[in-house]
Amino acid sequence: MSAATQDLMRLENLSVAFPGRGQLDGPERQFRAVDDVTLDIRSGEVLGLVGESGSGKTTLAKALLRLYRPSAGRILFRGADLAKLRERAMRPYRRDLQMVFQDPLSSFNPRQTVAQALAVPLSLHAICPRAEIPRQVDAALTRVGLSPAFRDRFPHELSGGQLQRVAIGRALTLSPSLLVADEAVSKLDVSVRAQILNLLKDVQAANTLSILFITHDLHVARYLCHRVGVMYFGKLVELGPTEEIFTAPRHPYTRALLGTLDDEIAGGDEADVTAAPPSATGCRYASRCPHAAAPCAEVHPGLERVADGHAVACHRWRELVAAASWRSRPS
Amino acid sequence: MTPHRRQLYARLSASFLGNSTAVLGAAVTLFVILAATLGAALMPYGPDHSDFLDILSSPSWAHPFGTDSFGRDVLTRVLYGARVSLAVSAAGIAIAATVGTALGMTAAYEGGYADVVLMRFADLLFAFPAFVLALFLMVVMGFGATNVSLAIALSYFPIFARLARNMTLLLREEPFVQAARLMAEPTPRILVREILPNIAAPLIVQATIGIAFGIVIEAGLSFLGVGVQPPTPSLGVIMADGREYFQRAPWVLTMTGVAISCALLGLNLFGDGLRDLMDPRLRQRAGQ
Amino acid sequence: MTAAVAQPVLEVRDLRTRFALHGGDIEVVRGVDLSIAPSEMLGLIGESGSGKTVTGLSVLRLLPMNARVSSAAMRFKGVELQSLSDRQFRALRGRSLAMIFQDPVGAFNPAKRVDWHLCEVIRRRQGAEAEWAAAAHDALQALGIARPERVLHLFPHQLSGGMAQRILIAMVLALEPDLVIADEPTTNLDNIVERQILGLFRRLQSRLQAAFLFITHDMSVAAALCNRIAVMYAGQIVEIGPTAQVFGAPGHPYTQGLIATATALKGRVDRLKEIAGELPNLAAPPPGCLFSPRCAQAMDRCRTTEPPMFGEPPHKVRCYLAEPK
Repeated sequence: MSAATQDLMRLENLSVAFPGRGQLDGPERQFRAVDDVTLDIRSGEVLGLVGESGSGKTTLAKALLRLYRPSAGRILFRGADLAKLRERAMRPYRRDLQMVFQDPLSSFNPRQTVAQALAVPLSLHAICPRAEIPRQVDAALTRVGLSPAFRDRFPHELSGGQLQRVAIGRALTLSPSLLVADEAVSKLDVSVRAQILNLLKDVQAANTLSILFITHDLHVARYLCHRVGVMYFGKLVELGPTEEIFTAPRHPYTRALLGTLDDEIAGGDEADVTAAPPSATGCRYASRCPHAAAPCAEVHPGLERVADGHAVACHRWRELVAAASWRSRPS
Repeated sequence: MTPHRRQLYARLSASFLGNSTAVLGAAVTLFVILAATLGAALMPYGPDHSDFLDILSSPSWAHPFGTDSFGRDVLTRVLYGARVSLAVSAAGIAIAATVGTALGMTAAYEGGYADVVLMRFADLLFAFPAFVLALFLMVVMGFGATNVSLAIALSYFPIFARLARNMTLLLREEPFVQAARLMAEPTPRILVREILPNIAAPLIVQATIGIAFGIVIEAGLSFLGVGVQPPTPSLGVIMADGREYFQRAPWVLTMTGVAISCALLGLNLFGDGLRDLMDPRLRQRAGQ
Repeated sequence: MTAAVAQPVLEVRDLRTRFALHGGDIEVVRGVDLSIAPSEMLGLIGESGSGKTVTGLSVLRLLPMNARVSSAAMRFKGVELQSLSDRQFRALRGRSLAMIFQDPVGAFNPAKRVDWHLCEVIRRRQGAEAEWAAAAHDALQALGIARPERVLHLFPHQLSGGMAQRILIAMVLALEPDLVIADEPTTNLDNIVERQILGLFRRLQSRLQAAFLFITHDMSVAAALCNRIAVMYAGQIVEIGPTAQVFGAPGHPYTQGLIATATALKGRVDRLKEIAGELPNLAAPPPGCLFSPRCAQAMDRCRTTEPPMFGEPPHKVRCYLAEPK
């Protein structure tokens, strides 16, 4: 898996804030779902974004597609800053940015047939002449491994796996340069998951597409992605090539996450520390981190370079690596 | 039509026929509409045909609902009156539905000031009991059938606006609408192609119930003399006549009341039946 | 433990559940046989549409009005459940029969605080005069909840998914039931919390002598927790046996496919092995073996006649490939 080197999109200090919702105990204030994230997505790569619920990964994806309005920061794409644009001005960029949603059924208009749903992008962007549309629809279906017989079906008549294929087909009709897959296989059965993952792999190779793959399933991330970013409470805490993240993670949270991949289940002795709200200015993970020290609660660490293309946001990462208790994970 | 579509419609009609409320309601409503249109035309008398030799006669074979103080056949009057009442009410509801839905959907989708202004205006209208509001409007605008339609439209418009707005708010966050935005589908197209078909069902149900409501308002206004003006027959006008002679000839008022009840019953049952049908959808996911 | 045959806590023979729908009836559970001994955890694995959840709900009498449940036998501690009236059954459920579902917050009374819930359960088990406050505090603490006094005063909607599951587990522990049916209890939880809750399940299993029916789609979870595994497909159990045997030497092609996909994802393969095709339409099931349309090893016989269970107990497989020669 060779990583491409050219930047397709660059997020700089991106923040997305929502009004109202504070923490369990805290006062009502603006809630930063995405907090000062800087990230680049390269041409032709699959970038995974992992994290648990509340990490902001889905919000980040929707923000870069401009489904949400960022409250701060820049989204640099094709020479423009998408963060500032209004809905109208986004139009020319829409073709390049597409998304596959978590729940395939709700991502289709229940009153439109598959053919109608696929025809929408074709006619909206005049991809082909009107008369050609039915043929293009059939081609789109075949491209994702479905028979053209599906064209007259309604979304609820297809299974999750089949619908997700149509969703991928729909996204591809516009020949985007970036496809955002938001937990695209999480709601699918295990036996179907493999089909869709293989399809995504094929599609990505065939179209030199970049994919931003959001998931909480680490195995899937490892299978599909060239690079992986780990998010926690709106912050990007680690970013690097997949194998390095999985075999030599530097951030304590990444290590904790990877610990869930162990086959053995511990006796459940760990306390439920999620009840403690994260610090507002310091490292978000400090309240849960077994290695937290003085600076951690004060200031949130910036992303530091660990190795080529590998960065981590932790004050103590150097000390921890040196410590005896912190060894590389088995491959 | 693909065999697929045919199957879908077959299932829909099977469901419909299986729902007794809907069928009964549809039957009664259909009966009322047919009576008011064809039936009225088939009657041997005209609505204004007076027979002064036969004033206030009780129901008989020649005059099933009797005659009124001018010797006019009450049944014929009721049928013509039903036609007028239905037309006035339907017109008013049609206006309320179109304007209310359009504004509600747009306000919900755009959000911000548009939404706030529309909702506060709807609240304002809601604050008045519908009949009082309609009465006030008649005094301001003047009497007559057209103005009754407008009054009904204005009284009922907030219901459509609120309903359309609430449903649009929910749908706006749905992935398929977001997918449409990602395709750069223009907003008006999204509202009409993506959102409207998915909120139409409750709106239609609301419309049938609204027509029933409109009939009541019209009857009330005309009964008080501020609605449809005589000699045009409407159910309310006939009831106004009937009230005067209630002691001597109760059938006029009574039979007209019965006719109104029939129409309302039919429409409400039909609306309820439709609502039942909408809820447990005919969805069957593949393999389950 | 002696080798004496203990009476199974739950014994189900030929369970069939059908739903009456607009277009006709659909049989969602097609002849399921189960038996769970005390202190044993049986994992029921299947994907959506396999009928695993409906199986659990059928035993618990929690199905909607249009469901028809029939079974040759459905015995709980020797008592035939089908002969119980609704009232008798309700008395049983929530006392000797506990449930833990996917949405933990939905299991609580939204108008009552956590302490009320624990109080109910403790009193039910220990009598109305029980010192429930101290017991509740200890129960939560034992399950790793920091500051139980704070949590006791919370309302269910203020609880996170993980916290709610911990409290539910505490309630089950206090209840000391004979049978616990858990349906996807960790599916909605985040990775780290899921791990902790699974650990608590292990603790539950060792503390109580109860029988457990653990319904899940996640093979690795079932493998880590359960003594025995039953794999369901399209309403039938296609393979059942001790965990080590089912995972080590799966007999049914579907089980093999599931395990292959799960293992492939864990390893570093270039291409995942797929199980081609989709679940059958239960309204119009294919003839013969329900898995045959998707099976690479299907023979002619598979497509005409439904295979029975073959194999020596405890490991049985519903497949002609397992037929002894």
